[in-house]
Amino acid sequence: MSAKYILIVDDDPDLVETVSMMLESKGFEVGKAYDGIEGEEAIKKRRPDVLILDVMMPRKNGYELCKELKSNKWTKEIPVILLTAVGEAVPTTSYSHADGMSVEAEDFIPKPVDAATLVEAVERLL
Amino acid sequence: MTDQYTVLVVDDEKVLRDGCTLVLKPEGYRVLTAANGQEALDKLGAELVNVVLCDLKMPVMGALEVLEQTSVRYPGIPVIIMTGLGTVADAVECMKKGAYDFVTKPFSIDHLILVVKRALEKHLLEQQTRQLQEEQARNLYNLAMEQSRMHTIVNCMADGVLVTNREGEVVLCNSTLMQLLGVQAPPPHPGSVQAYVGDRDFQVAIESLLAGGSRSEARFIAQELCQNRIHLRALSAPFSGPDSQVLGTVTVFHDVTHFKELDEMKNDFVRMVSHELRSPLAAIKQQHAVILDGLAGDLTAKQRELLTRAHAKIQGLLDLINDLLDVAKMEAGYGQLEQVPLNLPEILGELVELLRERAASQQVTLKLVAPDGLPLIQADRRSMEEVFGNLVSNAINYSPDGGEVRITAISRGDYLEVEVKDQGIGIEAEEISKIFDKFYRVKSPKTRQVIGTGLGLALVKGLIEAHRGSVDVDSEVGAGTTFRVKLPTVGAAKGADAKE
Repeated sequence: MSAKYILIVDDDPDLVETVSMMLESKGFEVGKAYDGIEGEEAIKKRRPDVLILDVMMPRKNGYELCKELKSNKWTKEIPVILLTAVGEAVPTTSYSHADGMSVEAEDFIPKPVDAATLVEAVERLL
Repeated sequence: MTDQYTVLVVDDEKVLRDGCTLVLKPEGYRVLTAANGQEALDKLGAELVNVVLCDLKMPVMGALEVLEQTSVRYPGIPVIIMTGLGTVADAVECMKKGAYDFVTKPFSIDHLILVVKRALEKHLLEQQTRQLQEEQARNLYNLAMEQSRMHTIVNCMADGVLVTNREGEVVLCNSTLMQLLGVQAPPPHPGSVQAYVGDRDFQVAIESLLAGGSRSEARFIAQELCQNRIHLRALSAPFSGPDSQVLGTVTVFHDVTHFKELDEMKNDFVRMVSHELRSPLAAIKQQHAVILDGLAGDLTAKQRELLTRAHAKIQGLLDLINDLLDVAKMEAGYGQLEQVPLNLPEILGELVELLRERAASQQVTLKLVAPDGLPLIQADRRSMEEVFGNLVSNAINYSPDGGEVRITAISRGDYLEVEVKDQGIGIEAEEISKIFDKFYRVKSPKTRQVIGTGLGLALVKGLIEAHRGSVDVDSEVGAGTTFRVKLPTVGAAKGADAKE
């Protein structure tokens, strides 16, 4: 069985790199894109098994991209993890609420993220 | 009457003077005597006299001349003429000249007493009338002055003023108010409050002050209004008459638009700076995490120790930024609070599960005591997570090894009460009043190890108050601290809304 393909879309190269390292160390294959438009193109080229999506990005933000994917029957099955900018100060389970947006993502993870949390979230969606 | 009144008896016959004195003294009068008109005028000049009894015909100066003089110099003093039978016509002449009355000699004792008494009464009544007239003139003057002074004060004020009568109609307002409210021509007087202030809450406040009755002496209502993009802080209070019936209301409007704008700018600035700081910090923290996980090669023990400490510092900074953002959000208003019926014990249960590991790493036990069937509260879920997350995290951070943090929820009438009790270092009495202030942190060697921002409790208090709840704290140094939060239950919150 070939390795699962995870696409990470974030405008901060440092975050993309660290997330990649976390996932690659667990044997995942990782694709990288640096804004919403690039992410869209990357998805067209190769359908990811899980999409990790930052929210605040230039050109097209994570919410917009997520909404487009979820309203398209070819892409709506791709599981999405939204990386949100809310911190860790208080643990909470309702980040979508907090930003006043309802987005149909499979999971929300606050930045910064550690390897254990990230890998667990990805494996849950596979 | 306890005052003694003075009667001046003027007659050239000593027998008559003495006789009158003998009659009037026992009646309580002080009696002065004079042998002729000239002497009488001298006495009048020297002493206070209330009634003059004057013989018609005397040497040196007769009654007519005395009358002429007294009517000019002492106009209030009644003069009674004493006359023989043969000279009644002269006495009538005296009456025309202003004498009060006359008695014909020989007169009876009772008649004399009666006449003097009547004259005195007339004299006193006249005096009283004069005093009342003067007083009234003075009052009218004061009233006019008071009114003009009040008008000047009201019109010179940089704040808007609006006065209503007890029917809630506007009876007075100043030009500042017209400017603030953007009202061009003054609406008809007395006009309805709506013609001036469109805000429904304000009209309700005025109605409730007017309906408050005599119980409302110390009451006032402060509220913020926005009309034509001008933000006004309105302070309304009832005023009452001597019988403590409410007669109307006075409202002073202060323009706070500039403060609002400044506050907005400050919040925008804080938001902008925080966002800009947070992204790189998050990246740095994640890079540290990758290194600590050994994904970038092996670490020496010392490298691991240093990085772990840096990691904790970065987390402290991220917490500070998040708190700043929350405070900015809180100050921008609670518009985003989505208040829905919530099962608070369930949220507390999730919170305890999330924090249990952190507590265990500091050898602290978490315990949640919540009986079944507690009422729901009307609240915003994330706010509640924030409030209790802060309180419980604090309790863990300040607990000693082996300590217990106990969270208890109970129903208290219209409120749900949650206690967060620790066995930590406690708070000094003088610090307690300050712990809810922004950026306040208790400084002591024992708290140095705890990384914090000093914003958590300010946020807790702000959020609880936005939910119409309250928070207070009991603490004993060395024994522990208990935070007690009260939040209105679903029914109570609705009831309060309906009342307002």
